[in-house]
Amino acid sequence: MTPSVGAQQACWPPLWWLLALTLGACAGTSLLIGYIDLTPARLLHGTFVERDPILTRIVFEIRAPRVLLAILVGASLGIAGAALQGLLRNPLAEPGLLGASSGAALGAVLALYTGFADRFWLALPLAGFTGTALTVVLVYLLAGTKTGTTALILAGVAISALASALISLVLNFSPNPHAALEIVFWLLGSLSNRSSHEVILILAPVLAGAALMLLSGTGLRALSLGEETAYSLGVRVARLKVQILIGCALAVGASVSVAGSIGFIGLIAPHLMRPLVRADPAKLLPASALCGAILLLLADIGVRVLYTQGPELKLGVITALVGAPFFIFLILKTRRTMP
Amino acid sequence: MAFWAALSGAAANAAPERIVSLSLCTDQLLLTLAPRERITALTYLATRPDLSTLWQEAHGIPQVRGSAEEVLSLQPDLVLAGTFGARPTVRLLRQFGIPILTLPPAEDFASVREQIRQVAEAIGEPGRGAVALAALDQDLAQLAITPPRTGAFYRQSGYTSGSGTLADAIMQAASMANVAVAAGVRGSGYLPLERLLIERPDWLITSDYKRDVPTLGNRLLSHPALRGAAGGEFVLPGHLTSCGGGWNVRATRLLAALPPVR
Repeated sequence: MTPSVGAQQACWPPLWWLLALTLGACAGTSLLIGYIDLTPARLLHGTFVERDPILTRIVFEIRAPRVLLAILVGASLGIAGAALQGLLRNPLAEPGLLGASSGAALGAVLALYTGFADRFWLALPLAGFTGTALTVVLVYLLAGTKTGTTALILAGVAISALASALISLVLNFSPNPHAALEIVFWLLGSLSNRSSHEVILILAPVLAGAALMLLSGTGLRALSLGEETAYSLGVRVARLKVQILIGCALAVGASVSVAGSIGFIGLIAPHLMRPLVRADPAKLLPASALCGAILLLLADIGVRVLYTQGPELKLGVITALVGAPFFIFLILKTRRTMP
Repeated sequence: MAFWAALSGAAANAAPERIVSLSLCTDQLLLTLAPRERITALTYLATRPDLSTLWQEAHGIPQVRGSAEEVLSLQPDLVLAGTFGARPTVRLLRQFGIPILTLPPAEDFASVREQIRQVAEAIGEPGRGAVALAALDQDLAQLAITPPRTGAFYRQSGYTSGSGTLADAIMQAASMANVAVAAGVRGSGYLPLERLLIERPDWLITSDYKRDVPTLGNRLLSHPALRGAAGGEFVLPGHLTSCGGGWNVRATRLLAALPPVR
């Protein structure tokens, strides 16, 4: 073993330990927070020792699926953010800003309110996948890779606005007594009242999408040196692009189709992790996945802590409250570094 | 306030002949109390069987969607509206000096009685009002005495009826304790699934309203935790509780007939 590898091994484990422990702590906290007035100790005792049937159902049928979904959805958004930022070599690329989330939401809305979602198993995540794939390809064609940040953001904003308008339009025409409420869900996202059904529904697409993006790590590492260099290193760039696009569409499409579009997680997670992994794309991908899961768990704890009466706050409200100032900070930073 | 004086003056002299209703609830009160030929228009929802108890009676009467223009063109001499619906229209019609009676959502049987009396007076038919009130009182008095049970309304997206709602008054009249009130819900509000499980009512009262339509709100009703959350589920036609009127007694009778569970 060479000294440098030894130093690396001594250097990296703490980060993964820290992320894993934080994720565990957030998941545990999320499991203990809800709408009934029981201390965590009473709840744990009642669930695992007394085996109270009602408390068991609350923990396993209502809260556990919610925690698992927060992890799956948060990880999808985090890793997709990292992969898109790497692919487009643009620090502002993110599923929300690129229109991928609203595209997925539009696909899911069309599937849900026409009844297509109940036609066959996986119809709903498939619709989300199609929506994401279409919007990302559209934005990509509109902006290209060489046009820089402005064109990319503009294309993303335009496609996003179009998709959001179409969501409202579809819901407006659907025979739906709570149309306004459900439009808000699709635009801001929520994990309220999700069940194990949704977890099982998105598990395979999210894992497959995450795997495709994780496997692109070495390719992204080469791509960070520029497209020509990546070619000369033997990376098939065209294949890499398709691989990331499909991975992103699978994970984000499935996530959004059950949780609505939740902004900013995909933007913040890679930025928080980048200094910790020394900007190595191959390590940034798993780190952003873990960070995204932690951020979404925190946001989901937030909506329940802030609950008073009426329907619960949407997740996008919390992520935007934290994410928008972060976005502004990024803009200021970009302005400082650019002449 | 000026129009009120005008209204009561008009009611004393000549009963309004061209009455327009702008809410589903006033549609049904009007159909109960007014002679048919004096109803100029009802809302576009009046003939919907899932929304109105008197949908059959509403057939053949012109319908409006609630814009000020179309109401003005009908030249009504009395407009009935809900406090919370068609507000901009109501404000405009007031500016044009058209007599308007607005009714808030009925909260209990006392306010149902009061609204019947108010509408009957405004349309100059106190006799018909007295008949409707007597029928309501008689129906309420004839309700069978039932053993106490617990229940909760649970509609799309987890909405329920808490204290101060007509649905709660109907439950009380059927000797059914509303667990949404125990959970602290005031008015029409959201009942978290966890609270429902903890309270575990005898009966979960759901609505038939748009139950077959694919929406997120309906998907919640197939949440696995809802199975066994209550002793039983009873589907109560939504139109029997959404507006105040004699039909509320039918809802009460249906709930009173539910046996105690467990």
